[in-house]
Amino acid sequence: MLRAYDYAEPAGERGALQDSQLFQREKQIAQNFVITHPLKTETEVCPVCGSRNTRFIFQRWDVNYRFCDDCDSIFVPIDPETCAEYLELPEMKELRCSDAYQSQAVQRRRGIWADFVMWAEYRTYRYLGRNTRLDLIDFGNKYTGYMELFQESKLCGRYELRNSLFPLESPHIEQADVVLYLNQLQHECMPAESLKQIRRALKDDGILILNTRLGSGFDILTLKGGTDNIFPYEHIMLPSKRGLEIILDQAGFDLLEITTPGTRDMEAVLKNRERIEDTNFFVKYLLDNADGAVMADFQQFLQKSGLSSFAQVVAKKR
Amino acid sequence: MKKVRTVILGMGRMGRTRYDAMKRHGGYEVTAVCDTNPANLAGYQEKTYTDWKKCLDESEADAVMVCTFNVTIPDIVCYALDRGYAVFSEKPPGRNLSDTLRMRDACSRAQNPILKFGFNHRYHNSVIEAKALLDSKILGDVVCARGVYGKAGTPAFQSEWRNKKEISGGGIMLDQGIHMLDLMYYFMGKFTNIQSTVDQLVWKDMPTEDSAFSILRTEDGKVASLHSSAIQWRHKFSLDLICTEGFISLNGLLTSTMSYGEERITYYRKDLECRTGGLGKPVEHTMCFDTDESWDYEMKEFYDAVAEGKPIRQGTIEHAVNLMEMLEGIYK
Repeated sequence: MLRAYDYAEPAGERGALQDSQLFQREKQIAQNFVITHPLKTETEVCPVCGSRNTRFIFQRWDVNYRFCDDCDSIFVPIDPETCAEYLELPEMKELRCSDAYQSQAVQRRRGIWADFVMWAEYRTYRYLGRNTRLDLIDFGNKYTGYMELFQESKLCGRYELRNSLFPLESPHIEQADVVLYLNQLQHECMPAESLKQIRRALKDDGILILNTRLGSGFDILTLKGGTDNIFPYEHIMLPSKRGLEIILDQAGFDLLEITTPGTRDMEAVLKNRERIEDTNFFVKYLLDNADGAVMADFQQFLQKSGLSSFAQVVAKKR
Repeated sequence: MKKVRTVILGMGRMGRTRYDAMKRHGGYEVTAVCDTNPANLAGYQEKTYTDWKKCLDESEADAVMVCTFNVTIPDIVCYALDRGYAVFSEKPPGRNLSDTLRMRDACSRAQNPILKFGFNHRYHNSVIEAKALLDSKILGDVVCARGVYGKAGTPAFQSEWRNKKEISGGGIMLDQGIHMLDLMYYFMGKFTNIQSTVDQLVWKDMPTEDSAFSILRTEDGKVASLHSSAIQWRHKFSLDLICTEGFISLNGLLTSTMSYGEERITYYRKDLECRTGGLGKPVEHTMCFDTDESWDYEMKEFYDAVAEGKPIRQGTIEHAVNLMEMLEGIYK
C-alpha cells in the first residue's frame, strides 16, 4: 500500500483556517441547536462496523462521543432526522453563504485548495489515464472559491454541484468520471448508506475522491474533547483509517489508495496543550522539549504512518 | 480463466521469481522447468529437463520464460519463436546489438510474434507514479535527468558469470545500468548523442567494467547523466528528473533483500513566488511503497498478450533494439 508525506520547512506559525469570529459564530449556532435537540438515543452500535463493543470517549456540550473498540472509529449516536435538521439549519446556511464567510475561506484556504486540485489532477491521471475535460460531480462543497478552482482546472469539462448550500446552476450529469466527496463524511450518521448514493453518481470506470477527518488521528486521540475543532453535530462521524476502509467496502468501492497527509496535528495539540490529560506524560514531554524541526519530523511521521487526523482516498466501483 | 501453459528455462533466482509470480497470477500452468544444473530443479513437481532444446521440442506449451545466462538468450528466443511459442525473456536482450537484431528477425518471421523482455523496473510503483506525473504534464516537460544505480559488489565479484565477458557480454552497465538507461529512455526518449567513460576503476583484473559514466542527449535536446557502478559499496538507486515546472526524484527500490532502501518518489512544483515555502524550499510531496508488485504487473501484461491478444506495452523487441543501440554507444 502507498504511504505518503509532505515536507515543508518550518516557517513560524501558520494562519488559522478559520476567522476566529466567524468560527465562534458557527460554533454558537451549532451549540444552540444541540441544546435544543439533545440526543434521542444512546445507542451503542457502531455505525461503521456494527459492533456493540463501544464505549464513551469524550463529551462535548453534553453530547457523548463513543469509541468503537473493534474498528477504532469515533461517533455520535445521533438519529437521522436530527442529523438532517442540523444540516438544513437556516441560520448556519445563511452564515456560511455570506460573503464574509466565503471571502475569509478563500483568503485562508486558497493555497491548500490549489494544492489539492493539483493532487486530484495527478491522481486522476494516475488511475484514469486522462485528466482533462472530465465530468465532475461535487457533493456538498460549501466553498464557492473551492468550486471555482475545480471548475477552472483542466480536470473539469462539465461540473455539477449536488447536496450543497448553494443553488448553483449546473448541468445535470447522470454519472461522472470523477466524484468529489470532500469533508462530508463527518456529517453522516449512516456513512455507508450515503456512500452508496454517491456510488450511483459514478461511472463504472470512474473514481471517487474523498477526504475526511479521521478519529484515529494524533490530535483527536490526544486531545479527545479538548479540541476546538470537533463539535456536535458538525462532526458526528470520525472513522479510523480502518473504519474508512470498512465503510468504502460496505458501499461497494475498491480502495485504490488511502493516505493521511494532514499537516496540523502537532499544531492543534500544541495550541491546546493545557487540555491534554495529565497522565499523557510522553506527549507533554515531547511538546515541552521538541524544537520546530522535531515537530515537523514528528508530523511527517504521523502522515507517513497513517496517524494524522486527515485522510485522502481514491476509490473505484467494485 | 484460460490457462497459459508455460515452460521456464533457467531456474536460478530469476526463474524462481518468475515461477512464484506466475503461481500468484493464477492464469499460468507451468508444465516444465529446465536448468543445466539439476540441483536447481530439486523440489519442483513439474516435468524437469537439463537440455533446453529437448524441453522446447517435447513440451506442448503456449509460452516460454527464458531466464538463462545472457549468452544463451538469443539462441533460445529464436528457437522458441520459430516453434510458435510466445516468449518472455529476461534482460539483457543478448550480449550485444547483433544478438538483439537476430531476435528481432526471428520475431518478425514468427507466426506468433509475441516477444517481451523483462525490463522490470518499469513496473515498480515509483516508476509508474513518475510516468503518470510526467504524462499528466502537471510538472511540465522533462528536460534533464541524473541517474545513479550502484551495487556493493560481492567477495567473489571478479569470478561471477556476470563478469565473464563471453557469457555476459558486458559488466555492470549491461547487467544493471541497463535498467537505469531503460528508465531514462522510457521517460525522455531515445538518446542519439552519447559520451561515456567505461572503466575498471577498482576491479582491475576483470574483463568487464565496474563503472560507467555517460552523458546522453536526445535528438530534441534532453540531457541525462548516468552512473552505473559496481563499486558503490552499498546498494543505491537514485533518479532525478528535472522538468520545466517542477522536479521528481526516485530514491530506493523495493527488492527481495530491501537493500536498496525504501522505494520513494518525491516531487514538487516550481514555486518562484514562494506560495508554498521559502525561496528554494517549495513544499515536497513524497510517496513511499511497502510492497513490490512489479513481478505481478509484468506477468499480467505477458499473460494478457498471450491469452487475450493484447499488445505488449513494455519491453518490446523495438525497445530492446533501441536500448542495445544506446548501449553500443556507451561501450564505443
